[in-house]
Amino acid sequence: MTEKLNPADAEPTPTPVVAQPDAVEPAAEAPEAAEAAAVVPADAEPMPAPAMAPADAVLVPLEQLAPAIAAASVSRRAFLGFGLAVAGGVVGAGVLAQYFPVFASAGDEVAPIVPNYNPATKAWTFVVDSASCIGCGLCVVACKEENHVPEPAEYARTWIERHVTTTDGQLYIDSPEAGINGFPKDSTAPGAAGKAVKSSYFQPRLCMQCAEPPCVGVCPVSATYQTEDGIVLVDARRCIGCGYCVTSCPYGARYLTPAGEDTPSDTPGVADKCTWCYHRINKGQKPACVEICPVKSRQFGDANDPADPIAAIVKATNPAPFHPEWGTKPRVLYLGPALEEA
Amino acid sequence: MTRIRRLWNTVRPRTRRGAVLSVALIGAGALVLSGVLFAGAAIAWSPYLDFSINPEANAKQWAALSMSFDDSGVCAKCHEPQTAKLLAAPHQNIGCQSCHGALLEHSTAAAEDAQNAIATVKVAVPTDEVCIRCHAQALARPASLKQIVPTQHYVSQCLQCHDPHSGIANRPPVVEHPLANLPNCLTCHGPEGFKARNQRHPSGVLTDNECLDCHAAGRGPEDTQVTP
Repeated sequence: MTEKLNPADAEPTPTPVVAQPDAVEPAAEAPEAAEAAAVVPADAEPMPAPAMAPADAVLVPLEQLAPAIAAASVSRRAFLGFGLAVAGGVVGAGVLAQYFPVFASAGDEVAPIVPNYNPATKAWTFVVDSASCIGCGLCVVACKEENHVPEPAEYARTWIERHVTTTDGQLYIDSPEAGINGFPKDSTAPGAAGKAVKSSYFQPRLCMQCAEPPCVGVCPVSATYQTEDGIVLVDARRCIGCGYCVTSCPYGARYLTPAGEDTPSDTPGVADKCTWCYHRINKGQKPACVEICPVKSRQFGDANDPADPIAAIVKATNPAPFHPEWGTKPRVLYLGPALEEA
Repeated sequence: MTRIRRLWNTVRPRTRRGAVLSVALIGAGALVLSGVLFAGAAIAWSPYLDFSINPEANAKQWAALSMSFDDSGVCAKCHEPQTAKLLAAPHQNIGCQSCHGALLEHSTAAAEDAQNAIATVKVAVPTDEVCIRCHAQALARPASLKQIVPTQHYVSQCLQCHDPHSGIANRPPVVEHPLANLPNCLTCHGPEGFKARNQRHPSGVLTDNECLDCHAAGRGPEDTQVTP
C-alpha cells in the first residue's frame, strides 16, 4: 500500500524543501515537516535542484504550507480508500480470470478441442455422388434441425440443385426451397417448361471446406478461420456481418443469419456456413446429412483411419473436386454427372 | 447525523490546497480504477483479444454444440425385428432416422431406461410425406428408383398397404361383384367383418367412397406406376 501512496504524496513535499536552498538539510528535521517526512521515503528527498529552480514564482513559505501538508496527510485516508479500490479491481480482474479462459498462460498445455480427439491426425473426406442422389431433400431437413439453420429457404448450409439439360443444349438449374421439400415433377427453372429433356441429375451442395478458402482471406476481422483438421468456421463474436465472405465464396456456401431468429450461433447478422457438422465429427459421428441420406449419395469419413471405409471408397470410385480450376482447392469430392458438367 | 458530521470533520480538507490535493487524489484514484476495470473488461469480453490469447476457444464452442441425430446403428440394440426386416428389404441402406427423424433424445433416454424411453420419448410413425419425398415421380430421379404419381396412386395412407421395413405391399383385394343396387359396403363388410391383413387398415364407420379408393376394380399400382 505504502509504495502506491508515496509517489503521489511526495509531490507537494519537495516544494518546501527546495524553497529555501540554504535550509536543505534542516528542512527534513523541521517540526512542521515531520508529518511529511513520515510519508516521504528517504530516497525521494534529494530532488534535482535545476528542475525546481525556475519555479520561483510558486515558492511558498514553509509555514504557510504546513496546513496544506496536514490536509494532504488527512486526505491520505481517502487516498487509502482509493488505493484499496484499485487493489480490489486488480484482485477482481484476477478472480474474473478464473471464470474466463482468456488469461490462459503460455505455460498451459494446449488442451485438445475434444478429449481423445486429435485434429492433426484427421483426414476428413466427403464424397458426394450426384448420380445416385434422388433429390428427396432429407439432407436439407436434417441439416436445418441439427444445426438450427433458420427456416426460410434462402438460409441453407446445404441444398440440392437439379441440373436439367434440354435437347437444345440449354442448362436449367432449379432448387425449389433449397430442395427441403423434395422436387416437383418438372423443372421449375424459368423457361424450362415444356422443353424436351436430354439429361438431368441432382447435385447436392454444401461447403467445400477449401484448403485455400477465399472467405478466410477476405474477412477484415479474421472472424472466419480454418481449424487444424481443415474445417472453416466462423466466430460469431468477431464477425461484423459485412458479407464479404458471402460474396467471395464461388460455391455460394455462405449466408448471413437473419435478425431475431433461432440461428446456429444464436447471433443474428453474422456469417454462417456448413461446418461438416463439426460438433458431430469430433465425437465420432457422421454429419447429419450423411447420416440421413437414404441412398448413400453422401459419404464421409477419416481417410487416415484404416477401419473407415472412406479411403477404400475413394480408391475404388476415384471422385474429383468440383471446379478445381477456381483455385480454392475444394475438398468435397464429387462423383457422377456433376463432374462432367463442370 | 452527528456521527457523519464528526467523520466529515476528521477527514475534510482544511485548506484550499488540501481540497485541491484531495480532489486530485480522488480523481487519480478513480482514473486508475476505471483503467484497471476497462483493461480487465477488454480482455474478458473483447472477442479479438480473446482470440489472440486463446485461439481455440471458438472451435471448442462449435465442437461443444449439442446433437439431435444419433448413429442409426444404435436402434438395432432394441428394435431387432424391424432391423432384421429392413436389412432384408430394398430399404436396407436407409438409416432409421431418414424416416423416423432425429432420435438421439430417444436413444439417450433408452440407454438409461429402455421402458421409460418408450413411454417418454416416443418415436413418431412417419407420414406419407416421407414416402412421397423419395417416390413421387420427378425429373432427374434415377431410373432404378420406384416412382409413382401420387395423385394417380391410391389416395389412402401409404402405410395402410406398404410395410416400410420389409418393403412388402399388401395389395387391397379388388371388388369383383357388381356395385349397382347395393346398400353400403359396411352392411355386409361390417367394421368387424373385413379381414384386415394390415394392422393399419382403417376401421370404424367408412363411406363407400373411402372403401372404393382402394378396393374399386381397376385400381392398382400397375396402372399408374411410372416407367421412367
